[in-house]
Amino acid sequence: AAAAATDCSPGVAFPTNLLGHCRDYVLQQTCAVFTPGSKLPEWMTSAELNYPGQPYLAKLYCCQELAEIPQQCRCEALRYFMALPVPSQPVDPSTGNVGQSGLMDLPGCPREMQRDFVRLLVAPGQCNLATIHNVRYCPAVEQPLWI
Amino acid sequence: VGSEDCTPWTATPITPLPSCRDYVEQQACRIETPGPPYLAKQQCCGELANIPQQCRCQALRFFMGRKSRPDQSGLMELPGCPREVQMDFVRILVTPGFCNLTTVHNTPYCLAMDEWQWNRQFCSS
Repeated sequence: AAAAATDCSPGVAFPTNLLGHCRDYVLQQTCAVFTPGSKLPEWMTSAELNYPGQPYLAKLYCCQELAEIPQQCRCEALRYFMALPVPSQPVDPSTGNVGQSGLMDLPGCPREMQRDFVRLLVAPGQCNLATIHNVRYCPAVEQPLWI
Repeated sequence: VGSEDCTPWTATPITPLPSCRDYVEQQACRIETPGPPYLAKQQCCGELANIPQQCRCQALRFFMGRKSRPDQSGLMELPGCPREVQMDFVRILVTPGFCNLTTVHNTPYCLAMDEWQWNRQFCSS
């Protein structure tokens, strides 16, 4: 691993079960899981239980999660978040399994779509958080520098 | 090869998606758009809805333009918000959470939006 990876190692600089609210926000924004009448199965819309009637809280909590990660490691955390293994099958959220972090493939909303929005989370129009080069975006975020 | 002729949506030097540029700048760059905040989304989705389903993804590729050709892009390089950041948002404009518009793939998303994948589906000339 490169020297930079030791500074932002998963489990050291940020928890490995990170960004649960960000996953909710990404699903909300990209996949419209909160939209009444969406064609998604009921279990997927259960995320609304976390923010009843207050869907804007997903963004607020997500930005808080990101803000708590050291500036130098935010992009690393997003890379980790995008690459995390996820349950291959839908799981009842009451079992807690889908409570793990990471992106999920959903019918009509594959992970690839969600990744594009994850890259935007730190941008000025979203959480507006500075990253490693003192800019508010993640340069070359697709490259898994932490591997 | 789709039967629809998408040339009108991928040939003009000026983007046919002015409100989408506003919406992208609002969402990616925190730039205020004219009117109430929801208006940019509404108008952008209207612009996309007016493009035939078969041509939406091609129109969005054309709107983004090639990374090496900022002069041929509908997006502007902005301080603190480079074109590449804005392009990430353009790629998801048709998804269920945003405009929710079906595309050539009969789903509300565009595939092969990375520039290296364009040659099969998008003619740059």
